Parts: sequence; structure tokens; C-alpha cells
Amino acid sequence: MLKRKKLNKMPKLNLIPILDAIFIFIFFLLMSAQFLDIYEIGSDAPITTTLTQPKPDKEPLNLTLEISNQDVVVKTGVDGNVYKKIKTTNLQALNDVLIELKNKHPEENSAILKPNSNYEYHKIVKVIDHTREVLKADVFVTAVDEKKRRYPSKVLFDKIIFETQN
Amino acid sequence: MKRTFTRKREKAEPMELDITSLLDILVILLVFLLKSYNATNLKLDLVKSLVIPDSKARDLGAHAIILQVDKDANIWCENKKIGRATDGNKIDPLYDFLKNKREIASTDESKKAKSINLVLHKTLPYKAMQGVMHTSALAGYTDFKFIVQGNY
Repeated sequence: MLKRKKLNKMPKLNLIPILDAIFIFIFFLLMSAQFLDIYEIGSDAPITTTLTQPKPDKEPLNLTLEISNQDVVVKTGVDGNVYKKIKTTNLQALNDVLIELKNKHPEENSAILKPNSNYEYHKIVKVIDHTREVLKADVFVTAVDEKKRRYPSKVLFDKIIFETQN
Repeated sequence: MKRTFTRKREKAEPMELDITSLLDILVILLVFLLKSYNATNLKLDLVKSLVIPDSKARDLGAHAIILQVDKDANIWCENKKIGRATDGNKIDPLYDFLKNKREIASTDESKKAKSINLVLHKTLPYKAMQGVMHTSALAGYTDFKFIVQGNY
């Protein structure tokens, strides 16, 4: 009878070490917690250099986005030819145009932004979001690596350059 | 003799605490904290009246000098008001401040940091942004990092 009683007794788990670990973990997380989820968008100031290299075979894309309150004008080429004009209310169309351009010029990765002087920062960020990557889940563009190998990618023109001088 | 024996047994009995509810709270707290964990080493203490815009960007910020521009276009760095960004022209007090910072940081030109974290209010006009960027670039900070809020 005594033996049977001993067998039925459930062994108690020692939770103290695991509780200690959880407390330390929570303390560490609380200390490092930043309740604002922050990220960065990189951009370079334009630098002018004199090129001594020979002229490349293919003309550079020189993608420029002129942003006004109503439209985003997509310009390409050294002469700044208008490629497309898109309403600022329909930025998905801008994304589609840039997908088209990236597929034609997979080696290019920079875009020059020229916003209107009163254009608000959060709207500029929206334009940047539509310029940097493909937003449609099932669409990919062609990208080229250093060894000129092509691969599918979501990255469009991730090197954003602002016109900083007046 | 018998009485003494009983008392001893009572003392030895450990007190049992019901920690189920405490464990529940800890698990909820742990899940919440893990969800809000951001591995960036950039620590941001926003000035009053500054709201940063939402973005789809997912690049983690890095430690660098932080410039904040509030909704009235006042420029702040290390909780000190430096000047005001009104247009796209060079902002002299900001230029002097950044130049001084850069000189203190290192005497070797190649080792000097080029990155600058720009925390700008969401409705700031481009002309104010332009002034801050232009001045920063003149002071040697040419690698701008715009700090944004992640949206899902």
C-alpha cells in the first residue's frame, strides 16, 4: 500500500532556474526596447568628378524624378527626355514604370530626385518607397551581379540622390 | 515529547506558491517584448513636436550623429537647438556646429565619419530638408540616413 502511494506521487518540476532566466531575458529586452520601430533610408549627396575614363558604349540611364504637387515626371538620358508623367495620387503606376525601366537597364541602380520646394517630406518618402523596390508581391525584376550574371530581384533603384544645391 | 516532534514537522513544511498567473504575465510580456525588439544600435530620443514618417524601408539604422528638425523647422542636436531651416541655403550655425563636431571626432581626414542621421518631421517642406542636407554636405557629412518608422 505504501509503495503504491509513492508511485502515484507526481514529481515536482523545479521552475526556479527557468524563471531566473526569463526574468533576466525580460530585463534585457526592457532595457533595449525602443517602442518606435525605426529604420533608415540611405541617400548620398551628389559629388561631381571629372571622368578620365573612355566614354561607355551604352548611354547611362540618368533616371531623374521631378516631383511636383500633381505629377512625378520620369526623365531619362543625359538630355533629360520625358519618359512618363504620373499623377502623385497613383504612385503604383510609378512603380510599374520603374519596373519596366529596370528590366531594360538591369545594371543601373540610382535615381535622382528633384522635388518641388514645398513638397512634404512624408510624400517624398512615399515616392522613395515606390522607387527603391518592387511593391507587388509576385513581380520580380532582372538584376545583374559583379560577374554580369542575371538574377531575379525585388530591388529597383535603391541609390537615391537628392539635388541639394539650388 | 510528542508535542515537540509535531512542531518540528510543521516548521519544515515549505510554503507553496501558486505562480501560474505570474507565469502567464511573464509569457505575455516576453512575446510583446520579442515582437517589439529592434536590433539597431541607433538610440533615438525624439524632440517635442516631431513625428517621423512611415516607410516600407527595412534597413536598420546605425550609430552616427543625429540631427532632428521639428515641425517648426527648428534644428536640434544632442538636445540643443542649433538653428532654423527656412530655405535651401546654407545654415551657418549648423555648419559651424557640424564642422566643429567633425574636427573633434578625428584629426585624420580618412577616418572621419561621413554618415549623418536625419530625423525630420513628416510635414517638413523640401526646401527646409534641402537646407539641412546642403549644409551637412558642406560640413563633410555626405552620407544621409533618413530615419523613418516601419509600417506593416
